[in-house]
Amino acid sequence: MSSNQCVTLQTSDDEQFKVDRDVANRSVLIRNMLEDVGESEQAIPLPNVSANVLKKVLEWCEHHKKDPEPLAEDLDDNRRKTTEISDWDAKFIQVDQEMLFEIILAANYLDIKPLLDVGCKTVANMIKGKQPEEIRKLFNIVNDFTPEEEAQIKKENEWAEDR
Amino acid sequence: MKRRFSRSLTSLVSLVPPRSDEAADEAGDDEATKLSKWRAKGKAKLIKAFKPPQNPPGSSSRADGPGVDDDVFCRISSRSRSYSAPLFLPPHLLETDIASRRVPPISPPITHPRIEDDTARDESPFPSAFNTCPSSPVLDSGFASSTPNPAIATTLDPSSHMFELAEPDSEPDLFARLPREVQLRVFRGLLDVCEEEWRRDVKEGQWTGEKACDRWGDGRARGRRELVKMGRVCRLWRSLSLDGQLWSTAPAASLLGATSYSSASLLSLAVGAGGFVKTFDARGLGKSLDWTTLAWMIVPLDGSSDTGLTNLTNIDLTGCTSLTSASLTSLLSHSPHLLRLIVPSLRCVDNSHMATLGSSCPHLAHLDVSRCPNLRGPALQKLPHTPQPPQNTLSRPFTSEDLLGGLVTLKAAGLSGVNGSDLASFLSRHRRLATLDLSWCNGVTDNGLKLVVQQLTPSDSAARPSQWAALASTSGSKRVFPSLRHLNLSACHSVSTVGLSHLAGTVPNLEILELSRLGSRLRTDGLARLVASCPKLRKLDIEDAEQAGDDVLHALVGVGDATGAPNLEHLVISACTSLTDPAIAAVVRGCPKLRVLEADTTAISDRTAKEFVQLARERASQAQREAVSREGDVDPLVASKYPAVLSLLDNRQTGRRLSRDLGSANLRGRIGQRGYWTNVVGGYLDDDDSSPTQESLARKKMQAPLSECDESRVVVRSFYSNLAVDAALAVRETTAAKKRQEKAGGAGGEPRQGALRTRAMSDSEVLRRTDTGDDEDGRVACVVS
Repeated sequence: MSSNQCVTLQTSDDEQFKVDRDVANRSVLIRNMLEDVGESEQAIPLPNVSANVLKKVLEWCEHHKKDPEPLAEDLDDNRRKTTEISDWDAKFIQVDQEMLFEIILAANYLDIKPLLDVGCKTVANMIKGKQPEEIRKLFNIVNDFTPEEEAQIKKENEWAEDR
Repeated sequence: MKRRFSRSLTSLVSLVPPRSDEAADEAGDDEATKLSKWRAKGKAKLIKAFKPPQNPPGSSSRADGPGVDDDVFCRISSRSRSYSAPLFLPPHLLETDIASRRVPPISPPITHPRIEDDTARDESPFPSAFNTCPSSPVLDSGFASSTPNPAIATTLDPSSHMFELAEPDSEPDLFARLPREVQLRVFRGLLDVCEEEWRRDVKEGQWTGEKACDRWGDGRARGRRELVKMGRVCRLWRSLSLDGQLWSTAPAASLLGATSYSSASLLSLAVGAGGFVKTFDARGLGKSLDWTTLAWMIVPLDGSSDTGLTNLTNIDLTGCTSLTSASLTSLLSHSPHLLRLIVPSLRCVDNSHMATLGSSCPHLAHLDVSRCPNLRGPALQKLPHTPQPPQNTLSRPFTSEDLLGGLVTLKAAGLSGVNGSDLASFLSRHRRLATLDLSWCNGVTDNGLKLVVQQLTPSDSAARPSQWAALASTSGSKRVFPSLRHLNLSACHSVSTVGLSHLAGTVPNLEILELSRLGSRLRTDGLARLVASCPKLRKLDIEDAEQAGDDVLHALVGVGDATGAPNLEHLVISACTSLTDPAIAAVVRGCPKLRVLEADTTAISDRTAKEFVQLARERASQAQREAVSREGDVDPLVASKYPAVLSLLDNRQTGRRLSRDLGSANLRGRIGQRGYWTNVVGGYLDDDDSSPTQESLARKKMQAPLSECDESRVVVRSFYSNLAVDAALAVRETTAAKKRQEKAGGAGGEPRQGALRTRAMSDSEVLRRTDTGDDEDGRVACVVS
C-alpha cells in the first residue's frame, strides 16, 4: 500500500481530520479497520474521541510516525524492555488532568500502546510517593471506607507506611 | 457533550461496523446528561448490573435493600474455609463469589459514577474490594498477561455495555472512569516507574552508600510498597492494588523482607491475587504464613475445594515453619504447572509429599528438600519422571526425548536412608538431572557409587525392570551421565577416593564439583583421575583434603595431552596441607579464568598470593563485563556476584605485605553488597557518591581505604584484612559518635570501645596508606583522623 494516502477521521463532535496514512497507522484500531475495509473515501468515525483530544493524539502520532513497530508482545516477563518516557513525550503529556485522562482513554480506544504507556506512567508518577490523603485530593476521590475498615487496612499495611 | 467513558477498547472494536444498539446507547446518553433523572432510573440499572449473573434467589432481595452495610464482616460458611473473610465483603457478593469463582466476576467500579450525596451512596451497592477477584486463571489464562485481552476484557466487564456515564458532579473522579484494564496499567506503571528509576540509579553508579541501605532503596520493593500504600485510598484502589495481575510474584518476601507482612496482610493478598500468583515467594515468612493463606491460592473450579487449581510454577517456602503437612499436600496436589519447589528444613515435608508430586506435578524440574527431617531417601523414587522405556530399548542411545521429563535439580542434603541402588535407579529415571546435591548423606557409600555407574547386564535388568542401562560410551562398561553438571558429595562420611575413582569418566560435563569435608579419605590418585575427566569444571571444592597432593592441581592445569580445566573460576583448597606452593602457583597461572581462590591454611606464599591478586583483578572485571552484557538488564546488580577473592585465613605468614605492595585502594576486606538487607550485618563500607567529580573521587579512594562494595577491588580475606575491617568499623563508630556529640554540644573523649578497636587496627597492613611511605612497623593512625 502506498503510504502517501490520506485518511479522513471523524470525531464524536463531527469534526473531520485528514491525516497521512502512516500517521493514522500508529493506531492499531484504525490500521486494522483500513485493512478490513480497504480503500475508501468515507471518513472513519471515531465516536469516542472528541476533536481537541484527537488533535493532541494526532500530534503525538505525527511525531512518532517513524518509530519502529513495537514487537508483537514481549512474551517473557523477566526480559523487560525499559521504556522510559522521552523528553518530547514528557513535554507533550504536560496537560491538565482532564486532558491527560482523555488522552489515555483515546489511546486505549485507538489502541496506541506506546501513547497509553506514556499516559499511564505519567499518572503513576503523579501517584508515586504520595500519601493516600494527597491522592484523594489530587483525583477528587471520596474515601468510601468506614472508619473500622480503614483502621483494619492501616493495620494490615503498617509496614508500607512511612515511619 | 456526550461521553462514553465506559467502553473498553474491545467493546468498541466490535462497534466499528455500526450496530443496532447505537440507538439505545444514544438514548442512554441523553438521559445521562441529567443527574437527577439518572438517579431515578439509573438506580434500577445499577442494581441490575451489579447483580452477579448467577445470583441465587435468596440473595437478590438482600442486594436490593439498603441493608448492604459497608461494614458487614461476614464469615464464610460454605466450603471448608471456616475462617473469617478478610475484609468487609457484602454477604451476597461473598456467597456468589465463593460459590462460583469461576464465573467471570463483575467489575462495576469502572463506570461507577460519583455520588457525593450520602443517602445515594448507601443505597447503591458499592463495589466491594474483592468482587473483582480473579476468575479461574486456568479457564482464561490469557488474562494473566499484562495486556488487555479482548475476549476476556469483555467478559470481565459486562457493565460497560449497561452503563452510560452520567455527566458527573462538579468535581469528577476522572480516574474511576477509566476502564479497569487501564487503571491496572496505571498501577503497573507505578511498579515500572519505581523500578526504572532504581535501575537508572544503579547504572549511573548513584545507588551507593546510605541510599542503597534505605528500606525502600530497591525500586522493586519500593514499587510494591507504593502499591500497597495506595490500597488505603478507597475501595476501588484497594481492589486494584491487590489485583492478581500485579502480583504474579506474591508475596515477594525475598524482595520486601520477611518481617513486612502480618498474617492478615498476607491473607488479603492471597485472597486478592490468589489464583494469578505464579511465583509464591514466601521465603522466611515463618509463622506469619499459615495454612489458611495457602488454601486461598487454590481457585476452585466448581465450588468444591477438591477440584481447584493454582497457577503456581514456583514455590519457595524456605523458613515457613508453621505450615502443616496437609496444607502442603493440598497445595501441591492442585498445582499441575509446578516447576520449582523449594522446601528445605521443613518438618512438615514427608514421604507422602513426594508421592503427591509424582501424581500431580508432572513438570516438576527443580526440587530442594535439603535437611527435611521427616523425609527418607526411598521416597524420592516416587517423584515425577518420564515413563520407563520398554525392555527391548534398553540399549538404545540417549535421545532428546529423555530430556523432556524428570528432575533437573535435586538438592537433598542431609537426607537419610539414601542407598546406592536407589540412587542408581533414580539417576536412570531422571536422565536430564543437572544438579545433584547429596552432601551430608551418610547413606552414600563407595559401593553405592559403584552400583550407580555399573552397566547393568540384561539379567540384572530383567530382575529389576525399573532399572535400565544408559548408553555405554568410551568408558567401557561404565554408565555415563552426560547431563550432570553439578555434583555435591561434601561430608558424605562413607565416601572415599575409591568411590570417586568409580565416577571418573562418567561425568564428562561436570562444571561444579564439591567434595569438601571428606578429610583424609580423599587421596591424590582417585581425585586426580576424577578431576582430569571433567574438563569443563568451573568450581572445585576439596576443602580439608589434607592427603591430596600436587597431582590434583596438575590435573586442573593439564600437563601434556590433558586439557586440564580451562574454565575453572573458583577453587577451594583450604586446609589442604599437602599441596605445595609451586603447584598452587601453577594453577593460578594455568587456569585463565580463576578469580576465587580459597587457600586458608595452605603453603601458599606471598609471591603467589600477590601474583593471584594481580591476575584475578583483571579476570574478575572481564567476568563482570560478560555477566553484565549477558543479564545486566534483568539483574542490574549482577556485577557484584562476580568478585575476585583470595582467602588466606589462619595463615599469618602470608598476606601481611599485600596491601603495601599492591596498594590498599585495590583491595577490600569483605565482599560488600548493597541493599537494605545488608543492615543485618551492620552494613558494608561504601563510598557515598555525593560529589562525583573526578578529582574528589580519586581523593576519596585514598581516604576510604576500605570501600567494600567496589567491584573492581580484589577481596583479600586474611588475618590482617579482618583486623582492618574491624578497624574501619571502629572508625565509623567513632565518627558517628563524634557527630552525635557535636550535635549534643558536649565534648568528650573517644568511646572506649572505639579506642580499643582503633588500637587493634594498628596491626593491620591493609589499612596502610600507600602514599605515607611508612616503614614496616608504621602505624596506621592516620586513618583515624
